[in-house]
Amino acid sequence: MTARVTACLSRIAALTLSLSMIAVTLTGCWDRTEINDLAIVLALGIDSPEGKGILLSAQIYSPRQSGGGSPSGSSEGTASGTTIVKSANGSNLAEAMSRLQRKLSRHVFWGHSEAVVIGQSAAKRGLREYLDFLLRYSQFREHAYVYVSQQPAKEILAQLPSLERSSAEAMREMGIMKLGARVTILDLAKSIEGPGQSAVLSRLKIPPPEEGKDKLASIPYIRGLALFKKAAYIRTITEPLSIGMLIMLNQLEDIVFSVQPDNNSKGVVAIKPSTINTTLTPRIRNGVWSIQAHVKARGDIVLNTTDLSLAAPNQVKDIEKLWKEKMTGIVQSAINLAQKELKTDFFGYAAEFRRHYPKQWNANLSKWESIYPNIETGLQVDVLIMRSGKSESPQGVPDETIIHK
Amino acid sequence: MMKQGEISLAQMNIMIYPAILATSILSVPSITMAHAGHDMWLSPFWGSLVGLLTVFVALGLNKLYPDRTMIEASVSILGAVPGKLFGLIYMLYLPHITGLIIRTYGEFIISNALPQTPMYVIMGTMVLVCAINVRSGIEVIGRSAQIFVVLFIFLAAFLFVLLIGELHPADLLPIGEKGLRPSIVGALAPAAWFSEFILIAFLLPFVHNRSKVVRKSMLSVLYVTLSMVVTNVVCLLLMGDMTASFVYPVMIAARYITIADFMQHLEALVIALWISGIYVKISTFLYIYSLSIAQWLGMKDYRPVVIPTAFLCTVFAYWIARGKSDISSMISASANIYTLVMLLILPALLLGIGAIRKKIQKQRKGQTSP
Amino acid sequence: MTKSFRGPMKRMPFHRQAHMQRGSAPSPILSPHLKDNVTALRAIYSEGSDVTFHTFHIHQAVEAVLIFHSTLCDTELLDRQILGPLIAWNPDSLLIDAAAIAGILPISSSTIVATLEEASLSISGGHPLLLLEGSSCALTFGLSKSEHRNVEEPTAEATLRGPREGFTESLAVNISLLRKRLKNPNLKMVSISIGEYTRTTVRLAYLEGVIEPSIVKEVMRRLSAIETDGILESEYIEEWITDQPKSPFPQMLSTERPDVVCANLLEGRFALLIDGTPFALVAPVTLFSMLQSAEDYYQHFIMSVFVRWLRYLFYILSLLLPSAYVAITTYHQEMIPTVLLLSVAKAREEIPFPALIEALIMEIAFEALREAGVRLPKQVGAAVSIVGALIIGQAATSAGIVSAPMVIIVATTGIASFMIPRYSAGLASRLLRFPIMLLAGTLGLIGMMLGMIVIVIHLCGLRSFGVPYLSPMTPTSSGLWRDVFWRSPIWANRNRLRGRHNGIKSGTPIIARQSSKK
Repeated sequence: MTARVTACLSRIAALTLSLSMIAVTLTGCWDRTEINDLAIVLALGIDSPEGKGILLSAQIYSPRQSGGGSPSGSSEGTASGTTIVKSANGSNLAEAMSRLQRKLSRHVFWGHSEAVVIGQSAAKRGLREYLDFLLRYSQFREHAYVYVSQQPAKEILAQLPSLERSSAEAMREMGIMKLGARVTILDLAKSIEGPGQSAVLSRLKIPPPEEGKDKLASIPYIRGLALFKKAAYIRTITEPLSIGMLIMLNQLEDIVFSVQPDNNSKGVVAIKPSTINTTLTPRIRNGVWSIQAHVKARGDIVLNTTDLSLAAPNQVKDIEKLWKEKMTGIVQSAINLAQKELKTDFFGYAAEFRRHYPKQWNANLSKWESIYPNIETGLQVDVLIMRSGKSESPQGVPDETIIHK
Repeated sequence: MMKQGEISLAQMNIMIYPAILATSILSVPSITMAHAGHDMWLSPFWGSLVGLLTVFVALGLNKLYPDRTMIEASVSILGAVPGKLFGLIYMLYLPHITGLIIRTYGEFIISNALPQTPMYVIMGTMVLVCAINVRSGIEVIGRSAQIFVVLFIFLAAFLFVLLIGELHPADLLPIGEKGLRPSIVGALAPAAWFSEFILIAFLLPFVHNRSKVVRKSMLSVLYVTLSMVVTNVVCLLLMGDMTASFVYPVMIAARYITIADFMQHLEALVIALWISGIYVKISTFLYIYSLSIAQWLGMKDYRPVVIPTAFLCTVFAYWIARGKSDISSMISASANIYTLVMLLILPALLLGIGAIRKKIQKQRKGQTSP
Repeated sequence: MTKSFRGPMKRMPFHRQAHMQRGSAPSPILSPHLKDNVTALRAIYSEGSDVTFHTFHIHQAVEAVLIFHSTLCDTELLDRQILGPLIAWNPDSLLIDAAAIAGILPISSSTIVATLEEASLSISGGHPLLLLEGSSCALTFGLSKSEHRNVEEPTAEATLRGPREGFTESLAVNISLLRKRLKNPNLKMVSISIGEYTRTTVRLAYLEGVIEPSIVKEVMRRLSAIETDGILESEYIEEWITDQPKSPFPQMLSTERPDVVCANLLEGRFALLIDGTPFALVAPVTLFSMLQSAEDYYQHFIMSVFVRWLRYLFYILSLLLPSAYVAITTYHQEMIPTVLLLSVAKAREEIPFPALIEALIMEIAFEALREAGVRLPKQVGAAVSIVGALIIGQAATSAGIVSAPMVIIVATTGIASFMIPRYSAGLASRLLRFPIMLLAGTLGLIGMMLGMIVIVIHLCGLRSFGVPYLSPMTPTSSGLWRDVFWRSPIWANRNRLRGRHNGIKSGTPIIARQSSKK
C-alpha cells in the first residue's frame, strides 16, 4: 500500500520535474544571442579629443556589406567595405561604451576585439582607466594587442586596408610578426604594475595615401615606440633609438643593420640578424648597484655592395666589428635615454634586482627613484656573422676588382 | 550500518581530489597571494600539513570503528545524547558548507558564462543532476567521479601545457623575499581546503579494499598539494604579481591561451569541463549530508532524504550570501578558521575522547581479567 | 529501489487451455485405443487445419495412423522411410509397440511420446506422429522440413575482410555455423521454447569453463520467466530479459555473424540463437564492446587502434556536434576563431531561424531521410538520397532557410553516426542528441555538460547481466582498460579466455532484475 503511494508520488514528482524542465527549456535562453544579433567588434580605439572625455570607437564587422545578400556563401564582397566604425562619447570608458550600444541595433560584442588602439591624446590622460576597464569587463580579451597611434585612433580603425580583411586584422598580424613591441593588455598591466612601473607600446601611423588611391585604403604601420611612465605617456621615440629600446627589451625581430667598411666609402654591407638576445645581470658590490647588459646577436649578410670578398675571415671579422660598434652605439643611446633623460625603468632593472637581491631591494624600495639613474650599466655586445647568403663574393662586379684577403 | 554498495580505495581518493580542488583551483591562487605575496606557490606545502593531520584524524576514527561513519561513531564514542548533539552540529554545518559550494558554483557561472540567467536555474539544474547521482548510490558516484576526474585532470594538464609558451620562468624569483612567514600565513586558505580530507571519515566505511589506506591517503594529499602548487606556479609565471588582483586567476589564464589562431578563448570549454569537477564535489558533499541525516535519524536508507536535502542545500545557498563579496568573505581568514574547527578540530576532539575511552576500557579489562 | 517490472497482463489463451496445462493439471495420457486418441487429436485439429490423418495397416493387420502437417514435414521421406517399410513389415507377433517400430525403421531420429500434449506439440512442430492400435505410446519422427534461405553474406554487418557467412532464419543452420567454428564439446547449447503460441525454440549457447556459471543460471532464470504469446524476433527476447529495458543503450548485442558470436563466446559471453531470425543476441556487453567491430580483429592491429580511436571520436561527435554548434554560436561566440566567426556570421545573416531551431529542423529532416532510405527498395532509395541530400540541401541553403555551416554540421553528424558499427548502439546517440541540443540551446556549453553528466550517471548505473556497462573503464579492472584504447596484437593477448574482455571477475554479483512473477 505504502509502496503504491510512494510510487504514485514519485511519478507525480517526475512529471512535475519534467514539466518544469520543459518550461525552463522553452522560456529559457536568457543568455542566448544569435550571431545575427551581434555587432562583432574587431578592434577598439580610444581617443580623447581636446583632452576632455573619451571617444570610444569600435570597428564593427558588417556581414551585409560583405556579400551577405547572396546566402549561398560565395564571397562577392570585396576586401574593402566589410567593416564600419562607430564611436560614442563619454566622460569615462564605461559610459562611452553604453552610449555606443545605444547607437546600434545589435548587441555589441567585444569578445573578438584583437587590437586596442589608444590615440596619442588619450594616452596623455594615462592608461589606468583603460586598463582597469579592459581587465574588468568580462568580454575583452586579455590577449588583445595594444598600440598607440599618432593620428586619432578612430582614423586608424576607419582604414580599410586592401591587403587584409580589416585594419584590426592588419594590427593583429603585425603583433604576431613582432614588427614592434608585442604587448598584450595583460603584459601592459603587468609592466605598469610591476616594479619597473613603465611601459613601451608600438606606435601606429597611417601613411599618406598613394596618388589616385582612396584615402582610407592605406595600411597603418608601426613607426616608433611610445614610452609610458607609471601609466602616463611621456614620449615617442623613432629609429634608431626605438631599435636600441627593442634590443634592450628583447623584442627586436625583423630588422637590417647596414655597416660601411671604411676602406671603401661607397659600398655597404647589410646584415640581417637571425637572433638577438639580451640578458640583464644585476650586481650589488659594496653598495654600488650595477647592471651588466649582454647583447648576443647572430646574423646573416644579405647585401654586399663593397668589393670585399666575404670568403676571407679577416674581412668578416672587420664587418663584425663594425656591426658591433653600430649596435653598441644604438643600445647605449637607448640606455642613456631611459636612465639619464627619462629616468624610467623600461628594461626591468627593478625586477632583476628584486629577483636576485630581494633584501637590498626591499630595504631600498623607497629610494629606488634616486638609485635608478645612477645604476652603472655595463654594456657588452657580442655579434657573430653566421652565413653570407647564396653568394660569397660580391656580385655584379668583375672578378679583378674584388679584394680577396 | 547501511551497506548500499561499495567503492574501491582508488575511487574514494578520486572522489576527494576534485572535492578539494574544484573550488580551490579558482580562488586559491589569488587568496593565497593576498597574504603570501610572491611566495604563494609555497603555501600549499604548509597547508598540506593540515591535510595530513586531517587524514590521520579520519583514519584514527576509522580505526576505532571501522564500519561506522563519523556520525555513527560519535554516538558510540560520546554516548547517545552527547553523540546525537555532536551529530546535530554537523546536521547544521553540512548544509552550510554544501550550500556555500553550490553558491560558489552559481557565482562563478554567472560572472563568467551566463550573466543573464537566473541563479535558481544555474544552481537548480546542477543540484538536480547531483541529486540524481546521489540517489543512484555510492557506486555510481564513485564511477562517474572516476570518469569526470580523468577529464578534469586532462583538462588542467592540457591548459597548462598550452600556456607553457606564455610563461616567464624568471618570475619565480625571488623566493622568500620576506622570509617564510608570509607563505605560512598565506597557507591558511589552502589549509581550510585541505581539512576537507575529513571526507575520508565518511567514505572509508564503504571502501572494500582498505589494506593500503594509509599510504594511498598520503599520496592523495601529495597529489592535491602538487596540483595546487602547479596551479599557483602557472598563475605566478603568467601574471606575476597581478595574480592577486584577479578574482579567478585560472580563468584569466584560460582566456589567455592563443594557439595558432585556432584555439583561443577556451574559457567556455574550461568552464564546461570544470563543471565536471564541481559536480563530483557537490555530489560527494550532498551524499555525505544525506547519509549523515539518515544515520542521525536512524533511517535504514538514505535515498528518501536526498531530494529534501538537495533542496535544503540550495536554499542555504541562497541564504548564506547576498553577492560575490559575501562569498569572498566566506572563504577569507575568519571563515577559514571556522572551516578548520568544523572539519579538523571537532573530529580531532572526537578522536581524542574515543582513544581515551578505548584505553580506559582496555585498562578496566586488564584490571578485571587477572 | 529497483523499479518493479511490469509485464503484460497474464492471459490464458484458449490454445493453452486446450492442451497444455503445464505443471498444474497433468495432461491427458494417450489411451491404448487408437480411436480415442484419433478423436482427441481430431478435436484439437478440427476446423481450418491442414493436418493429414493417414490411416493404414501394418502387415494388413495392425491399424495405425500417421498424423502430420503435410506442409511442414518431408512427405517424400515419410513415404519412403516410414510408410513403405511399415506396410511391408512382417512382424513376428502382432503385439507391436512403439519401441519395436523405432528399432526397425531406417530413420535416425524418433521419439516416444506418451501424452496428448506432447503429441500435439510434435505435430505442430512438423514432426509426423505415428499412433498404433493397442499402444499407449506414440512415435514421432524428426522429419520436419521448412523452407529457409541459403547462407548468405550478412547485409547489415559487412566487413571488408573476414568470413562472409551470416546466420539464416533456420536455427539448425545457425547452430551448424557455430559448431563448425567451435569444435569443442564445451560449447553447450541449452534449448528452451518460449511463446505460448509460437513455441519458438531459443538456444542458449555458451562455452562451459569460460563463462562465469552464475551468468548462465541468471539467463536461464530470466528466460524461463518470460510469459508471452509469441517470439518473432530477437528484440522480443531482448526486451524481456535486459536489466534496464527503458535505457536507450542496448545491453545486448545483436549480430548476424557467426564469427562475432564465436569471438564473444570465447571471451566468456553467452549467445541466444532464436529460431526464425538471423539475429543472435550476445551478452553481457559493455559500451566499449558495442563500439567494436568484428573487423577490428581482422586487420592489422595498428590500423585497428587507429580505427577504434576514430570511432570513439565520431561517436562523441555524433552525439554532441549539433549541440556544440548551437551552444558555441549562440552562447560562446568568443571561442570561435575570429575569421571563422566572420564567415559564419556572413552565412547566417539571412537565416530567419534561431540556431537551435535550425539545428532541430535539419536533424529531424536528416533522421526522416535516413529512415525513409532504409525502408525503401534499393532502386528508390538512391532516388531518395539524391532528392534529400542534393536537392533539399542545396535548395534550402540557397533559399536562405538554413545556413551552409549548419548543413555541414548535420552532414558530419550523419557520417559520424554511420561510423558506429552496431546499428543498435547508434540509436542511443541519435536519440539523445535531441535533449542535449535543447539543453545546449538553454544553457550553452554548461547545459551540454549537464546533459553529458546525466548520461554518464545513467551509464554508470547500467549493468548488462551483472557486468557494469562502463567496465573496464569504471570500475577499473587492472590491465583490462587498456583494451578500450589499444588493441594489442593477437599473440600478445594471452589471457583472452575467462571473460577478460568484459571485465567479468569470478564472483561478480549479478543484480537480478525482478521478474514478472510475484
